[in-house]
Amino acid sequence: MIRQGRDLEERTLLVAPRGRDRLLLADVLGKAHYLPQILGDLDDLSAEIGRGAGLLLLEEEAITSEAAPALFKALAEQPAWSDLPVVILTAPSRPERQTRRMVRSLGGDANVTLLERPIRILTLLQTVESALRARRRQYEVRDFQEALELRVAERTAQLEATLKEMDAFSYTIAHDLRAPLRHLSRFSEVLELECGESLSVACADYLRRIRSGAVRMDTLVVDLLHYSRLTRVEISIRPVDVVALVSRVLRHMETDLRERKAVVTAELPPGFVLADPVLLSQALTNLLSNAVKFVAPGTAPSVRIRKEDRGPWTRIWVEDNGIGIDPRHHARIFEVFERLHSSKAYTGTGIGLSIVRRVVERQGGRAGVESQAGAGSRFWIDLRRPEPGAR
Amino acid sequence: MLLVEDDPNDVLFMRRAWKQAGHPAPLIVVEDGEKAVAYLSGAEPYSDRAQYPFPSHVLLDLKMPFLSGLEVLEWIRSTPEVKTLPVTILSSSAEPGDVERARQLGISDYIVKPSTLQELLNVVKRFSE
Repeated sequence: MIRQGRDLEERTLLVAPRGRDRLLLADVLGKAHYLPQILGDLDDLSAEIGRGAGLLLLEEEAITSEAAPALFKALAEQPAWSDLPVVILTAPSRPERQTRRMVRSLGGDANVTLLERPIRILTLLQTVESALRARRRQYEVRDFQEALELRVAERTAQLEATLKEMDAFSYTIAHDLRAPLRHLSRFSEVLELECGESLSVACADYLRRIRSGAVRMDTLVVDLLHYSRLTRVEISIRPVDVVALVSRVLRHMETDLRERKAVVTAELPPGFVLADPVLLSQALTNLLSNAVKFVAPGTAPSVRIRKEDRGPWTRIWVEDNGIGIDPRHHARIFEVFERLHSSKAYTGTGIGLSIVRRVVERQGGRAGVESQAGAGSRFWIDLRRPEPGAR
Repeated sequence: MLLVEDDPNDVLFMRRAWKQAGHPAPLIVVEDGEKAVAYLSGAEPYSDRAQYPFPSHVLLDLKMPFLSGLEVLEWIRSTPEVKTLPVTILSSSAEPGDVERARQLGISDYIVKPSTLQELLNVVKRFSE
């Protein structure tokens, strides 16, 4: 916004139709250094307000019912911070209801002070001084707000730039870091294929280890990228049909579930939760694949999906017959890359549950676990229910 | 097949897989986006079509010096003589933004470079279909 000069902002705009009063007022105010700008009528005044005004000083006689709307409009169009003081010198011996009507014609929000005529000079000067002081406070608020908005805009731009940098950084990781890994793994594969027979057993084993290290690191990079993307991706929270979503997730996992000979039962009464369908599917998929993965060797996984209402929350349970988790590890398992098992026993990078917690929290929910070692695990997700009738 | 790829290791693996897959068509390689545009438009030093035949398919890496893969793809789709040429993206990463942009411009497939030779061979074998 273009700042008006201080002179314009603090000036007193005067409309006094009666010539004698006009000269007197101008003289008194001028001597007290409140030199007023004299305007012919309310139309001129209204046009002038936009250039800046500290105070309007008007004689009641100037505010006729024909002239009032222009001023009403000018006052109504003030910005939010502005509450321009309007001091009106009332017409002597005019009935009160007529004056009240005049005040009302300026709008309910007008900041009006009435001074009875005849008026003492001291009363006038103190009123003007007080009004101007209040006006200066308004300017301070305005300046402060503008500075604040400017700072917010700057910070937002900085944040956006940082996010963009992060994106570029992730991309670089994805691309530049993965390329050498890919080559490492492929060259060791070529070595194995083409020189395998001339290698000693030990050397062949070293080579295999190099390769599996490279493959594993590649998986970690991919998982980490996936995780960071899910925590940044734009989401849209809306009422989601839990039954439909769970059956979609199960359909997508069909092959995996069949290969593991898993039995999944869903006991889900109809119901909606507030969620982002993509993120919730991701969370449930991760919980389900853990549920069928972490079973004792030789055990067929059996998983039960339930849901129950708890206050404003709906809790979705994923319960398994797996190896369970000692309660002292419950906090750890939701951290990025935390693993409780060697990759020999159970493959994975340890990112699945951190994704669950992160995406559930992004949907305004929470996630947790109840489990004992050796006794299966019961993972849960709490999400809010939509307001009744919100669908 | 015209392979546009700046990484010599990836080129080596692709040649190996191409040979292994037993494709009769030759695999021609240019190592950046500018050369790809020059090759496709028959500019020097690629003007001799007997030596540098016009490809029936382009395998395009995305992140390359001079002209990126997406820029090459944009050029192909906006140049009448080569507009309908089938293009497959072969990239290190499946950035959603890249995938979407490539699909908008028109591609046959978007493939993330496999980390094992067997997977790469499977990808290459598909091109004969």
